[in-house]
Amino acid sequence: MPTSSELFTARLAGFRSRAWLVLFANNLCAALTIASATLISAQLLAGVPRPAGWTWLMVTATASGVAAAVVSYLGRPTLRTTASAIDRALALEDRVIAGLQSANQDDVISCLVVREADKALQRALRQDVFPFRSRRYGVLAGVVFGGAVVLSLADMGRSTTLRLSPSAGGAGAGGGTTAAATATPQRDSNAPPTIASSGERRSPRLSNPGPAPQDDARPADIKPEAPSSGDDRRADAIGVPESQSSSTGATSVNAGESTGRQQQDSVPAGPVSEASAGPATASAGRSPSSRLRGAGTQGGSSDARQAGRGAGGVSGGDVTAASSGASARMASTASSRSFAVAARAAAEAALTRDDIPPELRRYVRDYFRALQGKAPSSRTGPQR
Amino acid sequence: MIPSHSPVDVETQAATFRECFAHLQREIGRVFVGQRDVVDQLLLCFFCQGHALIEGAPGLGKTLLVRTLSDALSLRFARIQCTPDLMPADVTGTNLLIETPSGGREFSFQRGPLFANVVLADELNRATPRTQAAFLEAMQERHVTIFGVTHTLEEPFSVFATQNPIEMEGTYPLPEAQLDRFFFKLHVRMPGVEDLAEIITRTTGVAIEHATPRFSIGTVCDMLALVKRVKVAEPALRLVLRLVRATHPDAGDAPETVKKYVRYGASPRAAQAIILAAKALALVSGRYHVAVEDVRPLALPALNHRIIRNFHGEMEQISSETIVERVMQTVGE
Repeated sequence: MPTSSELFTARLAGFRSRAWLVLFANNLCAALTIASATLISAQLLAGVPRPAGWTWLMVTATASGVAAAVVSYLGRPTLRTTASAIDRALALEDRVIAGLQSANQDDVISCLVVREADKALQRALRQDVFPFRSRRYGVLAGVVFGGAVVLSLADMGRSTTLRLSPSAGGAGAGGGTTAAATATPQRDSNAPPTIASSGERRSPRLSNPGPAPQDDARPADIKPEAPSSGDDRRADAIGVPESQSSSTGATSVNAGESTGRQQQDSVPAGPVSEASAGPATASAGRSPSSRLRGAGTQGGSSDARQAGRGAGGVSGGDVTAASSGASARMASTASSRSFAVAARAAAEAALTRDDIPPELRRYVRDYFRALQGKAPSSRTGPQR
Repeated sequence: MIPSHSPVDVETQAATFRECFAHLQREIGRVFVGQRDVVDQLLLCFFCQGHALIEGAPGLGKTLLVRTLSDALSLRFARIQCTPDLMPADVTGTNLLIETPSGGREFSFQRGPLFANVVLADELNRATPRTQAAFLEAMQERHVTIFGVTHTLEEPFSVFATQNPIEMEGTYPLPEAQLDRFFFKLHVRMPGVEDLAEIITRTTGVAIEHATPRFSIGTVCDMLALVKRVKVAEPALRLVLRLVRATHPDAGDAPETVKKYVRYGASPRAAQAIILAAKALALVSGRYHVAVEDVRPLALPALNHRIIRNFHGEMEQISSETIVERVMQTVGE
């Protein structure tokens, strides 16, 4: 049978827990606000590395929680401070703290003091004494954190666009596109935006298989009738003249697939790679057009259809239609090297005309340098 | 007295205390008009077994107040009118050579007026310092020593001294060390018009009101013991200590007024007086512990006569009350 002093102390401990919880909530609001504001500032300020992406948001939220927990633990209320707070909040004329002082004494007056304090605590409600008054700060923290989320999402979308732009025309092949999604890891959100080279885009599975006798058949001289949006993006991004851009547009017939590939980034890699394995392997050693045909007309199999669906959410039928139309136009005999050299020249000309943002010029140079360097080896791989 | 070991007994005693306090307030109020705060502070002083210095102009009822208190408790009352020729033996008593029934002679101690429960020393500042010292020694020690024999004073024992602040000629102002022996210093002020009209009505008629005693000395002594058993909450204790500390000019948290006008601050007796009186006030309020709310109204009567002003304070006529109020404002909870 617990004594009245023990009951009183236990009741007071409950109030202390509530006080601790309120303290943690307040600290969490403050920490989340500060961390989110810091994140937003870093994203908006120039010259500062731009943190973006889910990782940074998770780090922000986790760090805020940890900081709030640590600060709350260090400033945790004692029974004495809790008793004082209760007395002040409910105007109890120091009854609770006097009861706490007398809890360990066994004289008659102490018993009466403890009893009075216990009565006062029984009448009190924890939420009245320690209410969550940080609703305003909670809203503020939520708004600031939401702003950080929005900015990060916007930044992620921008970086995805930057990454996809140069490949919209060049990596048009359905199999290659799918392989790129499986072989290229998701770019780290805080890494600078990179334009993947052709080597990066090429799947190991696709670059290795057997001979590629028709590598010389490049679509450089193909003029697309209606450039896709992917073509436009690419032309805007690297400043390739329209003629060059249209020549590359031959391979960007599958721009629809490229667009679909943007969505594909969020698709789990496993099924995609499995789906792409069939048609990719089947079309190894063929030109893109034939491979596309394989995935479309010949590869009207379920695997190919699966690949088309898995790659960009486009059904196999769509892929078939797109690839069959493209194959009719992809009858170029121009070498990839000549195409790369011409494109590089155009790009460098664009660089000198300040059409390329200064921070992206390096990537453009790297891209074409890599393209030129990889061109001979690409003979063994699928056409781009 | 053996303290009660049952909560029920203590609660009964506390209820009796509250009843007695209310009875005294009521009975004194029937005779003494107005000045409720002075009455309450006088009662607190008595229940803490302290001594009070009552200051006020002549004719404001100081003597009546103390006599009424004694009457309402059926205690032994003694009044001493202090004059410059008053001797210590006149106050404490002395040995007289008397004849025995057998024809012999021997010294017999004749008790002075100090051997009463409530002693009124009227115009104490008119007595010589030697007589004042006899008073104050009895007040502090609660016994007198005559020819090497110690005589214990009665319980309860309280001395209420009065002094007239406007007729200072031919007086011997009490030294600070002796002022410190007084528990409270109470100021009786001129009553308002309504109170004055009531005073005239009551005192010029045929019927004169008298206080009716109700509680015995034993009951009063039980209540006095109960006061000392009351607990003190830590915030209240800290407030008292900060108050007393802030009256010293060398204290870091002392207000600027204290640093400028005070030569020496309140002694630890001031803290003792505030805490004891707060205990009695807590019982009156129905609590068994002292809260911060009990301390605030008691700071002024306990501190105002314990603050010694410096030359600047006296020249600029900064009263002790002003200094205490400034200290109260500075020292929050």
